[in-house]
Amino acid sequence: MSELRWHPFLEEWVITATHRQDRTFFPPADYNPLAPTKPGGFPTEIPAPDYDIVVFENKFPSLQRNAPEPAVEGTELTPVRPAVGVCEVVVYTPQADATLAELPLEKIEHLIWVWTDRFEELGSRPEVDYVFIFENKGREIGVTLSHPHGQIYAYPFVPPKLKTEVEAAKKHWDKTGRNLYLDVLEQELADGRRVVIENESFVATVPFFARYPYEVHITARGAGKAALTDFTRAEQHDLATILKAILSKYDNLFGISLPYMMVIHQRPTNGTTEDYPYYQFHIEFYPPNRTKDKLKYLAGSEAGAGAYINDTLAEEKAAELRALEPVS
Amino acid sequence: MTNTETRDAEEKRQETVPMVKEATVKDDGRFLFYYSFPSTSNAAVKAEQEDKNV
Repeated sequence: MSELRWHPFLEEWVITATHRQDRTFFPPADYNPLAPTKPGGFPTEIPAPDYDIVVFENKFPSLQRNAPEPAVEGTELTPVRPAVGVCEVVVYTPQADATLAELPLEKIEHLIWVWTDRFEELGSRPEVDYVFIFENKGREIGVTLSHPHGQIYAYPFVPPKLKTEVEAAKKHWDKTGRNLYLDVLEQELADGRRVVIENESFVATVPFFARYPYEVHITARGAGKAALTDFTRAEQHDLATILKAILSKYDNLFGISLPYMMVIHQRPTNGTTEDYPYYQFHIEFYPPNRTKDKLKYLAGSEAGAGAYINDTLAEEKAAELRALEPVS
Repeated sequence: MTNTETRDAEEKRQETVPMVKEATVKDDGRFLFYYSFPSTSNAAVKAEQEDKNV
């Protein structure tokens, strides 16, 4: 069963997808569904014997191109909708034990080209309002397949967090005629204490308002940069460079392959970048680690009240990350 | 940046990215896309290595 159920108290959609209970959960090492299918070997999700980057529709999707009608009846207060959309898996490399941080810079740049293509293609679908590209890395995050991969959800609505961001940016634009993200970036650059690394096109910071100890945001510089499709080849290269730098710093932090959630925030696809001059492309990272062995859990205050408590200072954590290799 | 300039930049990006996309459909009807990068694809690198070994 799969449907969207309206949460009237929070005014947001909840996706019900009971078929996902049966999804692959840590398969044995000799069965990796994201590996290439070798001649004479067991068939995986990817029939080819080799590949560079592969994207395919998730076998256990939360959202479906041909979504069934809801199995329950909605009411005026709690309406239901078909869970229309697309869920894709992006396999970064055929190398099962690699991580995004370990891929050569050129391969990361290729991945950015693929993300851009998927954003364009999925975003052009009339039923899709938002294309969300993300990666969950590590068992601590609940990842069920360790082969390096990310995911894309093409939602039929603008998800709550993105809606809040867009509305806040619009409010600032209406009040000042300025881009909120660029104004905050200007403030961060002037202060300097929370800047981790920067290049010509992007700046990485532990934001002033970080909710996780090692939360990092990579923000695009300049106006008219609200989506992947707004970047030139040089900017795509700069994005790959800063992405690899942050991921490498993360792995050098505790000498472990650091788990994280990486989420790409772009403008909604129910318009163009010209329709969202107040919004700015950025990538957010949420590593769960407070220390090498201690994790930050989303507990009562965070999950129940939406109020995050960060036991650390963004200024100190930024300095820590800044000092790690690669140092620019 | 005007709409025309934005469009020009977009076209320029699409023209210059050396990426090939091959769309296929799996047995169960799901789409699968192979993206390759001709100058540096895994297959191309292997072929180059084999040439060197000959």
